[in-house]
Amino acid sequence: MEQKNSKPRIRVYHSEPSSVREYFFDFIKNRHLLTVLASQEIKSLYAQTYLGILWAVLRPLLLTLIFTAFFKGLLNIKTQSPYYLFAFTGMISWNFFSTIVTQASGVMIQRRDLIKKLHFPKLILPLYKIIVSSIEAGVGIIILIIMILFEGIPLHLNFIALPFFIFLNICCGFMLAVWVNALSIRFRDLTFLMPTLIGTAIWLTPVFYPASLLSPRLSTLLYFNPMAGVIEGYRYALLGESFPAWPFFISLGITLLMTMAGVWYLIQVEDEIIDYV
Amino acid sequence: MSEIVIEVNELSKQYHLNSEKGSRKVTTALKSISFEINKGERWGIIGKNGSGKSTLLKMLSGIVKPSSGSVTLVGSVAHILSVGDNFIPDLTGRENVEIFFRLNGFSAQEATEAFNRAAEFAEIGDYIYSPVKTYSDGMYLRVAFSACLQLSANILLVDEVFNAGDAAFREKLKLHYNDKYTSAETMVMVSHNPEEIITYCTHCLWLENGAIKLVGSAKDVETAYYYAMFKEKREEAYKRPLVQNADNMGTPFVPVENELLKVSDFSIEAPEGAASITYESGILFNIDIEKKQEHLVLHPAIHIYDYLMNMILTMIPQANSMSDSNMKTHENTTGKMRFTTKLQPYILTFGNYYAEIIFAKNSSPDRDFLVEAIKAPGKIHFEVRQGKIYDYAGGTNNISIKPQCNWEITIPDNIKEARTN
Repeated sequence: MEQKNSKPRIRVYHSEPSSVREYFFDFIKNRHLLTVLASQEIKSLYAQTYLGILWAVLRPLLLTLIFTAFFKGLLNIKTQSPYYLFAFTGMISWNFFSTIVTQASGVMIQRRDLIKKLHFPKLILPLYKIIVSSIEAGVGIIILIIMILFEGIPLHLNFIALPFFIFLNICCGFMLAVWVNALSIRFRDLTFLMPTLIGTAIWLTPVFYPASLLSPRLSTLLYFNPMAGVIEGYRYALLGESFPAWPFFISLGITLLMTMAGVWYLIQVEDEIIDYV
Repeated sequence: MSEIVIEVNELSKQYHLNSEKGSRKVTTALKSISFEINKGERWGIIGKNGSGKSTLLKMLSGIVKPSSGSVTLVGSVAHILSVGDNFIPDLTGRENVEIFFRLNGFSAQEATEAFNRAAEFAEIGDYIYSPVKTYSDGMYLRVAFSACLQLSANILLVDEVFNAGDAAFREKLKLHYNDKYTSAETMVMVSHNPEEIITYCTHCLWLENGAIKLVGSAKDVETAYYYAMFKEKREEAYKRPLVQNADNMGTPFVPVENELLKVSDFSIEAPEGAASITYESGILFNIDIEKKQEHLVLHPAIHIYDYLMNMILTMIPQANSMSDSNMKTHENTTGKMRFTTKLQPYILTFGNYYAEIIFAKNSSPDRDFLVEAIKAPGKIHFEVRQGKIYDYAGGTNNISIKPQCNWEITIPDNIKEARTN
């Protein structure tokens, strides 16, 4: 079964940490793990449920219904587009972000079975969680678009900006997940702290209310939360609302830098992971 | 010409462990070990728990990064490190097995082919399409082992994985793994089971405290290891009771007396002609007493305990001691006298024992019923040393009483005739 290669593969394991280049090649060599693990996760997540992956949409949808009743019914918040679409757009984006953070930041400990039995670049673990979350979010976005068209709102040219905001959405989650993963090797407490922080942060993000509801000074502060800009960006692309205000670009730059720094740091501590999980 | 496929060069591994107090403790799992494995060799790695065997294997498979030194492997590598650990309960046997192959670097098509072979081998029928959480332990292991059996590569790394499954399937497995292991191009196997090492391996490496103790042919190293472990086990047993010191253990004999008699000394020694007490020598017991009463027959008994304080034998006078005329010689005398008895050779094996003295007397002059006359409060420690005869005990190490028995062999006449003809 084994194919006879003229040149046998040579592996060398030594004590020096891998360079970013070596790490990248190792990653490419093991890229099949991404799809294998992601499909395994999807299958096992929705195994033996009747609705399967629809749950990925139903969860944010149910929350949206509750909050629509609350915010629209009681507080009567004014939004540019129908409130339930406004809130559902925010919820899809936020849900995408929070799933990435909570799922990917615990992944090293969750999949310690793999870490202890297989040699592979550990960056694959948060990334496969992102693939899983993206599939779920993708289903949500499709349903959202159908709802928007059903409401009679036409798709603007803004729509082409959607992939950009989806990418930023992933970056925000990935940035936090990578840092939590890298730091929680030493400080396990972080894995407990994260879900609480995320649960609180939803109120510091314009998910259920528009940023314009706040005073100009407060809304400027709000945009330092990168997710504020991302969610407003979704609404810009899908609902044709106004583009997020300029401070968004500052937090955007910081997010991108921190993501790259996080990946670099994770590569540095990669070899210690097995001793701690 | 030999061709090196695994080269281990001054490999070391330190673990940084967080201790309870929060400070970081460094433990050394491997201390700068080097060796080379040629193509076609099958190596066994042995050693006690914590000697670094598994760490070494994990470093060979690249899972654990060395602290210093390097490992070089030439050719494809497959490892059987555990069985069924990565199975997800909610997924079916088929899904899990295919994922297992994919994780081990098979392409999707190879994984499907390998699954078909594994399913056929596992013999669990349509259950393979049910979630593995519905499996019995036996079925689970069947599937997992069958999957592992499909892995193949130039270099096979194996951690101890046997000791599972039902007997019939285990036999089947052994047969197939036997083929697999003996046909492996190059193999490194960690095992506790000496039989496995000798059956499957050509070479053996003995690790002790993270360093190489001995390297050589599988048979030589495994034998040396086995005897060392055997000796250690015995020595451990030998040390144990002296630490406990409960119930006056290991202390000198303390004289004891009452209105009937005084037990003034108790000594245990090797019989004349033997330098020390061994399995071959037998043991001499001397009890010095002062008898205070006439018309009294004392019936001595010595209880012998093993190192775990289980009473293992009792030395009494002849079975019907009350009518033993020999015992009656002291009936009407008082004063100092010595009771001596000998435990026959070939009874107690190498190890630690305790002896305890009890004297009994007739409950009344006209009745053959014994009651306790006096009992020494402590137990006296004695040791049986390793003699010339090697302590083979039919495969078990911790047996205390090993009488030599005569065996008679009866061969049916028709067979005997067939032989001579």
